[in-house]
Amino acid sequence: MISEVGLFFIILSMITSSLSFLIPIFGFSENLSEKLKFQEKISECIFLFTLLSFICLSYSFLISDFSLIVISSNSNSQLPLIYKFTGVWGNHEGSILLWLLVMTFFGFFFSKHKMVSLKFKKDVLKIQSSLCFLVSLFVVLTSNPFEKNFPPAIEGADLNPLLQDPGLAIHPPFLYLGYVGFSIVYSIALGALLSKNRNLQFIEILKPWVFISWVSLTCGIGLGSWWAYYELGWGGFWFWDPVENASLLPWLTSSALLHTIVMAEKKKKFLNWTLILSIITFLLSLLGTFLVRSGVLVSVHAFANDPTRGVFILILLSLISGFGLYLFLKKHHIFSLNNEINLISREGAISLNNIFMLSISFTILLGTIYPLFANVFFNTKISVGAPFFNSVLSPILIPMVLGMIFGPYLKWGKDDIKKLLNRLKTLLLIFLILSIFVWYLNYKGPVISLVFFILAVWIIASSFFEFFNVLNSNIKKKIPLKVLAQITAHIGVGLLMIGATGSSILKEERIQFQNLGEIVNIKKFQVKFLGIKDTEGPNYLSQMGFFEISKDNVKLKILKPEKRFYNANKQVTTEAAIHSTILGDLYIAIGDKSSSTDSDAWTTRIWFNPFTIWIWIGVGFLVFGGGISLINSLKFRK
Amino acid sequence: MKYSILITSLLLIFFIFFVGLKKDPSIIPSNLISQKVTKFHLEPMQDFPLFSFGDLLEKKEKIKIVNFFASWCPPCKIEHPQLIKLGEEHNVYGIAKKDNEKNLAGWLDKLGNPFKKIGLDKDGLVSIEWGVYGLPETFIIDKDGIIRYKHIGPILKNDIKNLQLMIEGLE
Repeated sequence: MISEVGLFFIILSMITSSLSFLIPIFGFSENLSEKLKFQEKISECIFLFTLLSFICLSYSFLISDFSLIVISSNSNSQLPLIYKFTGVWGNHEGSILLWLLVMTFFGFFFSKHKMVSLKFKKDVLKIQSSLCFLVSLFVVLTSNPFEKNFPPAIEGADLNPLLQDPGLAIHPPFLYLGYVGFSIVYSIALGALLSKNRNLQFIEILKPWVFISWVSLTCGIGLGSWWAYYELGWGGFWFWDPVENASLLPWLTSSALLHTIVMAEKKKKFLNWTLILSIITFLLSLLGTFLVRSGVLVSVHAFANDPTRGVFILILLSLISGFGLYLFLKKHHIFSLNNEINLISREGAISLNNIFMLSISFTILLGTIYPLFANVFFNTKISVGAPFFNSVLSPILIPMVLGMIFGPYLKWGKDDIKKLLNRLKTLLLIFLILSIFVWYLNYKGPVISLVFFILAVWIIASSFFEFFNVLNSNIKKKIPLKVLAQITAHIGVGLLMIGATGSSILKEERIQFQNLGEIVNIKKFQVKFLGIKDTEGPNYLSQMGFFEISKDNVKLKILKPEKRFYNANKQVTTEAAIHSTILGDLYIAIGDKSSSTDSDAWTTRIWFNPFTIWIWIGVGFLVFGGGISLINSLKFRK
Repeated sequence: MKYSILITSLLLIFFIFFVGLKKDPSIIPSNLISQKVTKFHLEPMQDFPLFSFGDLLEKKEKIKIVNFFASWCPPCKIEHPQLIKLGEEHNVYGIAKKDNEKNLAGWLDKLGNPFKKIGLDKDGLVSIEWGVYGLPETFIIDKDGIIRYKHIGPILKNDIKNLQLMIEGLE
């Protein structure tokens, strides 16, 4: 019964959203404020209807209504309550409903803001509701979460055990907040393009949406990476998997957008950059959804290959990109003005940053879809992995990071390199001392690791230098929030680079058959294998390994990696055990018991991943920096 | 026509996606298809005839099926009844990868033996040469010793009909 109500509401939401563009075709009012009121009502209604539908689905999951196909194939009566709820988006149908919910919520939230230009607001809401219509049509036609089993199932097949984890339970909603948040950014950009004359108000309106989406996307990617690190048991944090790349693409273009929008606001320059980046970011979010949901590429995110859904998303993507790009090409000239900029200036640094960010995005996009390209045109199967991405991206990263270091010190308008270096004498001296120090600590390591460590340390040092500079030059001894946000985020990038360089280039690995009582030495740690014990969780059986960790022969702690066997769908997962310190993680995962009957040895994989913890701290700084910008942009508004 | 490059590349991307939708990325062809089997050496198992390279060159048998398996591999157990069925009409040879002889003997005793001959691949080198990356994998070889088909993963009940049709075609 509840599920019928849910289906009713989602169809109602679809029909209501279609009115946002159908009614104006017939024309019912010439009055602008009436037109706006109509669009506002539609935004409210579709949010309400989608929310009700989502509540019905959640309720059905919580009471384990196995008469629904999604629930019988993605949930189980023994599942802990929290995972029954997160199971709502642990499947294709439910997650697309969540996507729609977030999208309608953003439209609803936007409709509550007071704005000077009524036409602009009306246009934005109309575009947003039309986007909602396309997605709800997708839900109803190809991904109906309320489809029934006949006869009803008695027990469910269980939620994928990999998803039964707090880190992953909240990873998709954050990612969606980011992806879908860019839908309103797209709508705002198109709204601005639809206005008859140059309307600069859109920048101020756009800003908080860009920041909120960027922060959520950063959180989502960070959580996914953290989860992959401790759950998959592969000892890494990033695998250049197509789905990971798909989430990185909008992140990169939106990072470029963040920098551009600041300039658009301050100097009224780069308006076209702002518009096109807003459009491209949402298109890349959709592209990501297409890659994930259609199954055209091989990925660890193994979703079912469903060409009908793929075709639908492809049509959606072509409609949305066609409309957005057409409008941009046709109307962008009204936004192009005083675009002359000097290379050696703040504007120059930011435009270089944009070019680098877009080059990186394009490179990643190329590497991600090249296997598909090769399959279609040459009928060969190839895979593009870490060697391609690392070797192509490293050279692009170096000048970009240099831009990040010196950019903030450049003056607006026109600057001079000699004068700049003169201003930064102290900083350059600090750089020199730090570089020698880093070289001294790590001269045995590969050159590339040295280069990245030095660059990372430079970013952090220059950010602190900037901090004190601003503090001293300011009479009130106060740091503007905008500068603080930039400094925090840049420090985050520096920390992230240290973590990523350490844990990818300098990691050490030991894989062996380890006998009971045998000690494996790695770095300064001794890892002694004490044995395996069978334990039982709420819905799984576990083989728990016990490893005694000592450093310089002083006992530290016992680590307990696990291998879990989930009863309902007979799936095995690895739970790595990690001993984290600021210098690096000791990471242990267990494999199988030796097949020979007279041995008690187990396969054990032990890694030492230097500085890994700084990746997550770096992401934290990025999120924090974005958060400060968000608060700042909201404050400015009032 | 200022934007023709942009429009062309966009259309190209959409075309690739559209065509790509009809292809299954999980199918990976083997480079060994249509190649002649190369010489290999397996170790014998007690009480069983040894499977060797010469068996694959035997002209009297039209079709040979080579199955990589192990007693420690759960999907191999699922596949076993289908192998027994195939073994009734065709010559099935087994290569046990990194297996313990005692466990293997017990396993075959319990589930039945579909194999005409068996060889042990103790260090897994033969498996590497045949490009086997997971167990079980099954190869179909014609009378000239040329590899015609590779099946990755267990042969399920649904697969057996297709396999038999293909074997008939080859015969």
